[in-house]
Amino acid sequence: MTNDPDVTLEGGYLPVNAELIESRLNDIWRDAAADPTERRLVKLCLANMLVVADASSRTEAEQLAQQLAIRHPSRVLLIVVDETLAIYGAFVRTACEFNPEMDAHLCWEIVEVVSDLVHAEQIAGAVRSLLIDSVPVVTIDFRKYQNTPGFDADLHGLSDYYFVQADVVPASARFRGLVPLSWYRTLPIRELMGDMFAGAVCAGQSARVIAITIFHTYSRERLDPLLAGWLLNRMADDKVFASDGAAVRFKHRTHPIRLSWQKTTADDDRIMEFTYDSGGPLVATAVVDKAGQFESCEAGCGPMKMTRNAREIDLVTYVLAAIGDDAEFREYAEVQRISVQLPIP
Amino acid sequence: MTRRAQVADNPLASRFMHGRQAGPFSLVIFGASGDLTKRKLVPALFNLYKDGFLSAPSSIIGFARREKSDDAFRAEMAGAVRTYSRRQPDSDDQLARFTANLSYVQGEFENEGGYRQLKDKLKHAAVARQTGTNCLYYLATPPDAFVPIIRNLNTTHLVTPITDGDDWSRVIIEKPFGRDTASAWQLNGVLHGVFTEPQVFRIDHYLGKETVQNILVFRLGNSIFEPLWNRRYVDHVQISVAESVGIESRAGYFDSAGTIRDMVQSHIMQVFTLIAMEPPASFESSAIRDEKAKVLRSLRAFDPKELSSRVVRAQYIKGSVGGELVSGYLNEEGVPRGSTTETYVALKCLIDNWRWSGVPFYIRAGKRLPKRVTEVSIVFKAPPLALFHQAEGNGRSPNILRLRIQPAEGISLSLGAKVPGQQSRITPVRMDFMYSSAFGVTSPEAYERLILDAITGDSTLFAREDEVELSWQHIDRITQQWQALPLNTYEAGEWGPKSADDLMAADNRTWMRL
Repeated sequence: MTNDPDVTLEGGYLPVNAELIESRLNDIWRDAAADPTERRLVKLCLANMLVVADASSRTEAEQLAQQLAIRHPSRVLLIVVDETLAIYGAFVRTACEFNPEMDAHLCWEIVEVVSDLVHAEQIAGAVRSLLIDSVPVVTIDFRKYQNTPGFDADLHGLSDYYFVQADVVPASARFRGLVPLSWYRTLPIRELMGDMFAGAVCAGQSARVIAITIFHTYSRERLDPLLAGWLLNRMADDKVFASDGAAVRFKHRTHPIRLSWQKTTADDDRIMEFTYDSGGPLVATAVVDKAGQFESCEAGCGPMKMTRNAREIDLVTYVLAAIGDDAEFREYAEVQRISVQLPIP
Repeated sequence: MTRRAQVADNPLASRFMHGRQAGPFSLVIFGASGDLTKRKLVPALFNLYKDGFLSAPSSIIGFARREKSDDAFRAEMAGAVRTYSRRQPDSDDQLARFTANLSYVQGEFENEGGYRQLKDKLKHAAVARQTGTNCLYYLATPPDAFVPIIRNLNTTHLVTPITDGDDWSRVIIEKPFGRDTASAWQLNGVLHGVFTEPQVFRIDHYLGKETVQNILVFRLGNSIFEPLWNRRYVDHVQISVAESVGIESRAGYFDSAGTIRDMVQSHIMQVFTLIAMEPPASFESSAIRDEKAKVLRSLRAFDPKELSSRVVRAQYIKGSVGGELVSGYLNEEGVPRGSTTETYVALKCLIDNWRWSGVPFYIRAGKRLPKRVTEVSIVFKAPPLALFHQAEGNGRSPNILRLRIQPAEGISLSLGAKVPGQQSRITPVRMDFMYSSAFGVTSPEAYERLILDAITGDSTLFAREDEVELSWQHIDRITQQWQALPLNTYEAGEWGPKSADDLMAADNRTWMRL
């Protein structure tokens, strides 16, 4: 292994060598602690945060890594697998924020590993050596395609909580919590529909839902399996439902409801619609950006509407809330179990 | 009156400064050209000197095959101190005063000639340096040199019988102490033809580490832990010794030993017995070693029928350690083609005694793992009732006591605590104690403690004859069945083979993350 502390690669990168990286971090902390002008430093590590990106998601991942470190002081490992580069190197940096209550700087550290495809299989070895024991490993994987099989399998094995962009995650992987980022993206719709439904503002307290329609178009990200699974998980009595091949029937508080799908066009921004036996309907719509992600969501009936800017529900808040309370993971697991049984066109 | 007796009679001797000090002595290091001497022994002696533990006259004589003058040896060892000592000399003068105690004898281990020169040198030191006739022989050589050295010490009359008043001769022997029960018996036989058991110090540097010594202090010096230290409260124990390095330049030795002989029989069995032993009647050496031997007698034998469910062995293949590609074991320089030597071993040990009945001790040791870590984890049973079951998963996390032996020696205890807020969420939190931050000083190197113990005649931290033989008997039962066990593989940089995880999963447990 390379242990020369002075060695740096082109572009200021360190060689990817866990001992060297730890040594650099120790030097930084020791120098900072020795500075008599500095206030007390408190180095915190509440988790190992693993942020994984490819070339197209690198900027987003870097921003998230920074925000995560500030909000939840951790050892953040930012892994960039960039097929456009020919590099295998690491950066280390530390940062602090003053906490007046503690009269101290709360500090954290970020290790960035950038790798081309050739070296991708070596990354997991570095990550394993750099993980802090006794605290969970939380992975946020922004890559749309997992095209490094060895590394991907290792990543699944290392992670306790796994937030993943890609649709396909090996069934063999075992996590304490797994959610795809598409489940996170349904959050504004889930929250809005929950608010509107709870108040029965569209049809009065005695109105009953008799049908639900979910609209889908292939031009935007397919969220309808997740939303349908979510509705059934929350509404179906005893989670019992039946499919006739085109629709799903279930009972909600003993009253029958028919859930069906309707294909629509790209310019139709409807997501789902609740039909009541009186009043309504309750319609949820969404403005979607070019990447197929919600910019804003709206739910309401007639002039009564509630709007949610989807960007307000930031990923850092979501991740930190989810790992603090396993309910989100449990619900997703149940939704996934239900979704695969649905006759979605 | 001997000088030692003079010191003992002096009521003003400054024992209160250091607790104990070495009297006059000579130390002969066999294998003085080796890495161990340069990297560990001489730097340890320098630190003892620097701390004032070696203030009485002393002479340190290197003995090796290579031709070398006293001055060349001193210069070489001064360089070793500068390079490898945990602390640098306060001045050049201090280092010069230390190395003035060093001298060198060139000789073959097998031939008497060198020993006669050694005898002359010792006689000279006894008079000129007033070191007296006390002599400690340190066998820092490959094991095949042990027997010729011991025999030649005897034939050249370099060993003082234990009955000769205050004067003493002692011998420190590095591991491996044999490669099985038969060879350990044989070596003990040769030793006892020359030395009595109290003169023999079988060194295992793990026992010199602060955290290992602290195991007993922690258990028996605090009233809150010992009542919990039994089958009623402990679910299981894990002992992990992970190394990130491969076999380095030791292919010849390692390939004939494997991890089970190199690590388990020695270091791990010593730590295991300290964790599992009964409280001794006193803190005397013999009382502690009696209890350690009892644990080994209670260790359930590895029956051939259940070997596959209690033992995993594996060898590393190429992979990435710390981010760098490394080759597999079979491609290491000096490893025979097709070698089936294990570089990883995992064991499930059971102790059939009143305290530990039904409590498994899981042991794993391996090379080319992600980190260099040695740790003991005492995993306590989960609370009997899930009062906080709404806090899914974490609500019943067990308390875990982790004794970190290296690096960053320390102890941590994980507890469940309520997360601040309106909900009853529980999360594990840790109470940490680290030697370096708690005491503000770096721990002495293990060799410092052990060498001083040997000079002062305290054998508590050395393995006794019966301990060594008992542990070999258990290891033999495993290695005699080696061929019946599959040799698994694991990628370098992984935490061992999948079968090791399966060994734990069969008991609904997992290895601790290190």
